[in-house]
Amino acid sequence: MVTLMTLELYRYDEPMLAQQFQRLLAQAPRFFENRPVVVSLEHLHNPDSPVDLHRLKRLCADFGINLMAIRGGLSVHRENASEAGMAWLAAPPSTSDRKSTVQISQQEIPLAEVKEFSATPLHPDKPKPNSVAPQEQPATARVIDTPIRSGQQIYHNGDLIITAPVSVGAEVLATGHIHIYAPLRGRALAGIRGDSKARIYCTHFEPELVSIHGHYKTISKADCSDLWQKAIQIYMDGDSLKMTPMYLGPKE
Amino acid sequence: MARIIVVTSGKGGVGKTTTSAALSTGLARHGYKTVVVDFDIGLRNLDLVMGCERRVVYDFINVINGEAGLNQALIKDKNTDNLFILPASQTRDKDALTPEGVDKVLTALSEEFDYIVCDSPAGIERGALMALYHADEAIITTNPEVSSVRDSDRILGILHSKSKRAEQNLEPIREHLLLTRYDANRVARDEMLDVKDVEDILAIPLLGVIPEDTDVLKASNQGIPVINIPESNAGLAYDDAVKRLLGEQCPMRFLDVPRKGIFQRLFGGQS
Ligand SMILES: Nc1ncnc2c1ncn2[C@@H]1O[C@H](COP(=O)(O)OP(=O)(O)OP(=O)(O)O)[C@@H](O)[C@H]1O
Ligand SMILES: [Mg+2]
Repeated sequence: MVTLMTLELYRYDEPMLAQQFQRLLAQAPRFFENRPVVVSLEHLHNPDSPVDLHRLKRLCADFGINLMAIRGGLSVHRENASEAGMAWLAAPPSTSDRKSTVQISQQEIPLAEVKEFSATPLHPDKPKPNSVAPQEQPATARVIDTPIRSGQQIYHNGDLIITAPVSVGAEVLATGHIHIYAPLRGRALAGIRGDSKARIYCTHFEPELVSIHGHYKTISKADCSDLWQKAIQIYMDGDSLKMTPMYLGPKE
Repeated sequence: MARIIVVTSGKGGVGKTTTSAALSTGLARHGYKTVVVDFDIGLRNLDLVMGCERRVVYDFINVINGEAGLNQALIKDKNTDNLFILPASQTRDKDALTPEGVDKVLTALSEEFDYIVCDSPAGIERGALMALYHADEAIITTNPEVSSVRDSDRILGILHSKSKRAEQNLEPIREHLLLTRYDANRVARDEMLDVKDVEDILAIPLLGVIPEDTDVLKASNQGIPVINIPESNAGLAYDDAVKRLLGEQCPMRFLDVPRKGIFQRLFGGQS
């Protein structure tokens, strides 16, 4: 299984996109590291606007973003994609995902938004749209008792409960909540398919990055000294990401 | 059936070859028929440390390619009974190390030996992957510094995903943390991580702590595994590590700054 990142494109404006990538990478330099990225055209404000996928691919490559497929779009986009050596994926059937995206775009009308979903391995030359669509099985919790090491990535559709350390350079993603009863030193991304009510709970807060529903924050000890190594929960409060100590019973 | 132990690290120069030589010698001295295999194709270090570089005629790659039989390539150690070395090739490139070839050689060795110690090259590329693939146990060789710990963490992830035991859903590889080049003085000055820090990050059982010791370089220059140098601190620490590997309990040594001798206390002191 691989985790794909989706770049949700709302408008095709190269200079603005470049700016947005620059900002994103300044905050999280390794955001796209070694990650196949899918550009989604499903939410283009003007669906039949031309998108030069050759140029977009090159633009992305300049920022170390590895575009490998498009999702949605018209047949011209599809042809353009195959010329640019990219696969085409069918739009996922879920509507919940769509709703949340629209909400956000109404609020701030971003150019593009980064989302993540998981898929079975994908072959650019042999696109298998069905196998790539996110699985819509009923979400159940998954429990992991072994450490998640640097370079490893865990994705789960549902809640993720981890009882061993998540290392620097490791990444855990869940569509639901993430509980970590051990040090969180890597990245944790909860509610990744549109659940802004998802939370992250960890008993030992030392992460590189936390994210709820695509709202992420890179963390450093200097910025979070009062939370560092404590038991913390992270959740969305309106539009902002909140990080607060957990109540662990009366103080001694 | 042999137990296959990989000595690995991710990061280079942390003491894998030193450790492979010491552990294999220690296991052989305990009476186990042991072979140490050099997976560092193109560099060939192990035979120097074991003092047998002049006796290398055929190597691992020759055996893989069918140019020599296993018994032609295996070198019997001069000083330690039960100990054999399968040297790497200096001339070939590491692509010669094919999965089928490695499988064939390790399967054949498994029938004759109690322990197979695999000295991994640095990195997470082909050679390192080949060395760890068949492992039953892994010695995660780590120096007390952030970059080495980070690389060890990465290798642990690879053991969990790319080893045979992981791929076939067998019982996981037994992992051991071996801290090497541990300098208690520098730890006390906060220039290096201490044992607790490293254990806390890697979260695997500690097999031993090998102190920084000038005898290591002296020994390797003479082609003697440091475990065979009497009274050397590193050698004693490797002795302990071998015992723990074989299931014995023994306390950790060399963790603290050595106490000053009587003369230093009388005349040296801190002024
Ligand atoms: N405990 C120690 N005290 C002092 N020096 C040491 C110690 N352990 C290893 N060294 C020295 O560190 C250097 C590297 O050791 P070694 O060759 O065993 O590392 P390695 O991990 O096998 O390296 P490579 O990744 O290149 O294969 C050598 O010069 C060795 O003498
Ligand atoms: Mg070596």
